[in-house]
Amino acid sequence: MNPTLDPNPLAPYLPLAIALLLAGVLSLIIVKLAAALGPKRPSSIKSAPFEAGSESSGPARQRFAVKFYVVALLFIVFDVEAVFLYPWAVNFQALGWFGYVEMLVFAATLVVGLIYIWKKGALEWEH
Amino acid sequence: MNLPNLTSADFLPLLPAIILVVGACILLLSEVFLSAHSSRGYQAVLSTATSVIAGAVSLTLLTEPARAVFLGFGAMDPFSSFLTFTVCVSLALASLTAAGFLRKRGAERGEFYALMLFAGAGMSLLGLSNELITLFVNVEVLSIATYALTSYLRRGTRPSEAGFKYFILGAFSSAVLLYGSALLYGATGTTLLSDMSGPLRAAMANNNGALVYAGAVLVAAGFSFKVAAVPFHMWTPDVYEGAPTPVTALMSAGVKAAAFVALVRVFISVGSGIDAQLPFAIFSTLALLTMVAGNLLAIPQRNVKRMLAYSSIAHAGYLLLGVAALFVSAPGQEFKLLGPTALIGASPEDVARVDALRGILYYLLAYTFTAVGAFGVVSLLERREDEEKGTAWDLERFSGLAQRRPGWAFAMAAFMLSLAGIPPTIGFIGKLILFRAAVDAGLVGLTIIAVLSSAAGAYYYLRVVVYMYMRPVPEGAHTLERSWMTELALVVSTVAVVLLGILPGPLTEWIAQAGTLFTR
Amino acid sequence: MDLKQFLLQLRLDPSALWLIIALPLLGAFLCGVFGRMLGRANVYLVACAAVAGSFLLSLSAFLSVSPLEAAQAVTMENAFSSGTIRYAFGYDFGTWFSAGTFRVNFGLMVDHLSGTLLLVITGVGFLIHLYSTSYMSHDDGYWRYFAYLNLFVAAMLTLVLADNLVLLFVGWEGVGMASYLLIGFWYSDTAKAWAGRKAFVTNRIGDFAFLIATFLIVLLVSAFNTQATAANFSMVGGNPEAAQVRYREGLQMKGPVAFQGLETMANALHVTPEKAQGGVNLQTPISEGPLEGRTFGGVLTVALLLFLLGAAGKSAQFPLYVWLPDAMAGPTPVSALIHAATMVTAGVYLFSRMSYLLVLSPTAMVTVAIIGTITSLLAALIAFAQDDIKKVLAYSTVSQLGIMFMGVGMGIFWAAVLHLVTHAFFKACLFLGAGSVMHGNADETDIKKLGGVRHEMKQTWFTFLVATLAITGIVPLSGFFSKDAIYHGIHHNHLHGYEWASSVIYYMGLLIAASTAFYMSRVYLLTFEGKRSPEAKIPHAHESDWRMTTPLWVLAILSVVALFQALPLMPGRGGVMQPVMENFLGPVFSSAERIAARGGEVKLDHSVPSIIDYLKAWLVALAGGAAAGFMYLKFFPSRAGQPAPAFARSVRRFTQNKFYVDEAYEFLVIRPVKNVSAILYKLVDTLLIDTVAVRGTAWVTARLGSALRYVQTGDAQAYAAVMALALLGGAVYALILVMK
Repeated sequence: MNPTLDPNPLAPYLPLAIALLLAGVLSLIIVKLAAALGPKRPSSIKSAPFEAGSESSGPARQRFAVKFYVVALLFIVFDVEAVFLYPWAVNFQALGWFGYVEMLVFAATLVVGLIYIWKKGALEWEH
Repeated sequence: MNLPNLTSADFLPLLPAIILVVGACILLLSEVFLSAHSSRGYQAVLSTATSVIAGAVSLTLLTEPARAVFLGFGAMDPFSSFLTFTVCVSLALASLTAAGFLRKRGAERGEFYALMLFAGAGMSLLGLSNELITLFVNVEVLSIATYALTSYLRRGTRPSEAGFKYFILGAFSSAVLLYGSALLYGATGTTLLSDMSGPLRAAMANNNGALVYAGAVLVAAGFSFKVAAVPFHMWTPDVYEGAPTPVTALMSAGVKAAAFVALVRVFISVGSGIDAQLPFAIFSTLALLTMVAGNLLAIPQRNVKRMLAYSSIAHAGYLLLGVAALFVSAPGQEFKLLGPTALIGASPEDVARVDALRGILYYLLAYTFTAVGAFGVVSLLERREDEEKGTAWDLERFSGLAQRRPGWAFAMAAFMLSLAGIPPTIGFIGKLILFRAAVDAGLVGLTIIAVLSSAAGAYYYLRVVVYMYMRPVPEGAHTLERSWMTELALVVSTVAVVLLGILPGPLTEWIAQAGTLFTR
Repeated sequence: MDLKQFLLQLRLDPSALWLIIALPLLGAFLCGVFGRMLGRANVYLVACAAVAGSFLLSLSAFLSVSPLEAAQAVTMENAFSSGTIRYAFGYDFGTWFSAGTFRVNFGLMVDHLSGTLLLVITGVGFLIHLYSTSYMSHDDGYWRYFAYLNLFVAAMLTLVLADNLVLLFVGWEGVGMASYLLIGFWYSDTAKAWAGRKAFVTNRIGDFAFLIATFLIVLLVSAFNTQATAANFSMVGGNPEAAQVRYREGLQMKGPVAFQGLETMANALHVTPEKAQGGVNLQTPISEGPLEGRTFGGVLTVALLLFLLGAAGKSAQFPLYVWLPDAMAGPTPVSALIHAATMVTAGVYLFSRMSYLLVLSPTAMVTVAIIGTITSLLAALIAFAQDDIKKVLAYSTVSQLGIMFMGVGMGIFWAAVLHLVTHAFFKACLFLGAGSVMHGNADETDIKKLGGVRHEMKQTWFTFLVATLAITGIVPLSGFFSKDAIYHGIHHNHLHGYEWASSVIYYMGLLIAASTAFYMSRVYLLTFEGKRSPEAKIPHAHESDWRMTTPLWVLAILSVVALFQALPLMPGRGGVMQPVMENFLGPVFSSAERIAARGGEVKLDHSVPSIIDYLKAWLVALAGGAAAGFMYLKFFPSRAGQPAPAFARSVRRFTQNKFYVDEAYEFLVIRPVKNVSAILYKLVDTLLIDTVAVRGTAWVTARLGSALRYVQTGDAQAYAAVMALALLGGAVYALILVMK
């Protein structure tokens, strides 16, 4: 196939750009609104930037707890699973048994991973 | 809605990878139900058995006709089946080596083998990938597993350093590869490799050449990192030395083989759409630098593991010579499906190209047997206590080995001769086929440099043999622990190296089939 | 069931041919690796059983190709032409190795020529294994000995069974290595170790020539393949175009060095441009490649002459024969097997195998014949005055091999092969007899210090006598017929441009025959007749045991009955009766006959010797024997105590010193080479190569390597920077490419 050269190749992405803009404006409004409306009782710890539970300032060569990252990674894995499940659910009828089996295999693979992390103790916070 | 019509024929080429993944899952699941003191001897056996089964399956796939699968996202051809076989050989031998290695350190865990098998599945799928995104995903599958394997022994500083370096630089190269793929997609509007030649020509005609060339250069750079071609080789010695020895073996054999196959596949497609001068210039330059620098850098090494790392760079150089031979001929000429019998009456250029393809495959398998075997001997000799001192892999360790363990010494001598390309070993036949193909393609000058640099290589290979056979046993040498599994790997590799060196016939027949590559 | 039916059932399946080689190889492996564990008796058993098994298989293979009934003759497919090959079978085990279009298959083939040699190798080989179990009964290295001996048999069988030049060369090298190991078997004795080395080095010279010749043949075949036209293939049979296609397919399948392909090429090559009709002939220049401009005939002749040098090394021909007499340092059964019966005949086999190429070049043929004549005469004269019984037999072997080369060179192939067979029998018998004499006389080898042995060693004496009569050519023993067949052929065959050779070589041959009779009678008389020498080591000899005498009897009987092969019993062309062996080997040499008849360069005669011819030859042999009898029974004994006459002394001094050939080598070759090499060593080696090239290169490489090492800092950021720089370089190159 020959690429049809669109005079403006970015045109299809316009809605996306608008959505991005909206999201940015909205989040800005929410943050500013919360800051304006909420009570303020600042302390040194509270006013430090939040960085996944680790010290935000100090020497670079310090140790930090790895459990935050583990949880975040595991969350992403199952989050992505949900992302994949969604289009399948939408097209469930059309995909039929083939899609069903495919999805079972996909889920089973993740179950193997779940059993593994569970038994490994990666889900326990106090370890 | 338009649904893809997938049949079991589409899944057939995935079979070896599926077997590997299932084996890995069993290893993972069984591991977590074991206590710290349970016996884990079965894990290496299971891992080896899985690899052997997958390898056997890939051999039966060798006779399948070349075709596109999964709507052209994958290419099922003897070329990729042979790669899977090579990968499975390296997996099986590395698993056996790991059995002795891990037991000696009390570090046997199912995860180790599972990661190896996952990496193997990635390599097998990488060989099949005929589409840029699939290709990238599989590169990552195998890379992430090997990053983790590299720092598997995380207690020492070396493994963490090696793992970290590999990860950072690997991420860099992955980004480069992805960027290159994106540019190619941008120029052609397709990610399917077999559809690319037409749009590529159109892009060249429409003055989009810069995009295409930049994409090709970036993709080549990304692969050059994986195959450790100079100047993208800098990570190799540090990582190879720091990684557990069986992992080093797997990296030097399996990962490299998969990366070479993918590289050949990408550039045959890309090369058919653009002036072959670019890939030829890239790969001949890389080949030249890699052969010469790899051999030169290996000469001053007294650390055998590091020496083998440089040697692996040098061998990548010889393979790149074969790759360069693919792109000598007239620009824009497309590759044909050339089976063993179709060669009668084919043009000399076609014959030379198919020979180069076969030469690359033969060399990859030859190098797999030899390198994994050599790393196996290294893993038998090393001790954890010496690692931090840096003496675990000193040449001195090999002194008088012939008197202490004649079997190991003989095996190592066979591997060294094979790496140096001295008959009657498989390495000699591999070099013969590869260099001959390069000469037939007209690369006489480069081949002369290849022969000269491999002659220089004989120096550091034979030095190991001299130490083993002509030096006395050093005083106070510690006892050498045996491991029947690792020794089995040595026996298999030695038999293969010598037997296929004397009777290369059956293998060349297979390879004659495997030189068939799917193109459209 | 009658015998014929039974024999037909014994036919060997072609796919089992590899077993013939594998059995002795397995034996060598078992004896060599587990020999010490197995113990003496088991090693004997393994080694002998391996060769015996190989013999039975060879017998079966031989019977399979033998024409029991013409209708049931086996045929095999010819990969290079549409016809089939009758009276032969083979099996191709597939590609052995291939690189590009070059390909060598692991193919084995049995025809009447290799079948005959199979029987000789395994048959005589088995007898000598049996003999060795007694001969080596006091040696601690027995397991090593039998491992080497089995290895030799395996290599020799590979040489004979190979269906291509490269596989043949593997056997060729293999027998050379086994021979080296066995000559230097008692390696703790420096002289013996040196003898082994001399054999090895001399052989290497020949092997190198062999290799170059093989390369030339490969180039020749590829040039023929590109230049040949359909006109060439009109002589191969069938439709010329189809024949050419078939030939191409054959090359594709079996590679350029297969004998079938060489035979087809020889058949398709025209001799002269007149008949060629534009096809390739011997005067056609090669159009491309490294041989560009040279003619096919010229290259072929050079290749054949190089093969001759190779054969001269292996078969101890002038000027490379010097290693064979020294090779007697090895155990005597080894001399019998390797240095008399089998290995040294490899050259004769090689030329017989490639007879179709040889007849294309009269120049090469006459050179082979002349080299054979010189060798034979020289060796026979040297043998006159040797006192060591094994040395005499060694020179006699050289001389007999020379006769075979004369035969091959003059185109009388079948007789040369026949002489090869009969010589294997009687010379092995002589060597084993000599070994038996040594065994019974405290290892005495000086014939002057023996004498009168016949009374104490009756069996050895009788068999030695039979073999002596056979080699001297006394009617009706086999040696007479085989030698006479060669001489007759030499006299009646003619090489174009070298017509003088026929009679010159023939009369030289008669002289050689007389000399042979003289020195063999001398050895026999001095050893077995007369009185026991007062200088003998022990007063009484003792007869050897059955394991040593049985082979002697078998070989003695064989040297008598082999005569039937030379009798004109088979119907030949034109109703003339033809010798059995000529008839039997007919299919093997049919291409050579056809090419000779077509080209007219070589005239091959098929007449049978007349009674007068026989009488002449017999008289010559009798005269030689009688002269020896007179001198050693009458003349010297009657003059006991007196000095020998002056003429006898001077002749003796000259011949005893082997015509100073070793000294001539020393003076003409070794010393100049040494001096030149000393200068070269100082100049080239020490200065140029050692200092500049080797150490210099090593220094530069090592420095370069060390310098490059500094780039390897271990810093990941630096690594990434290098990669980025390289990328930049690539980008710049791509940019330049785009700009163009």
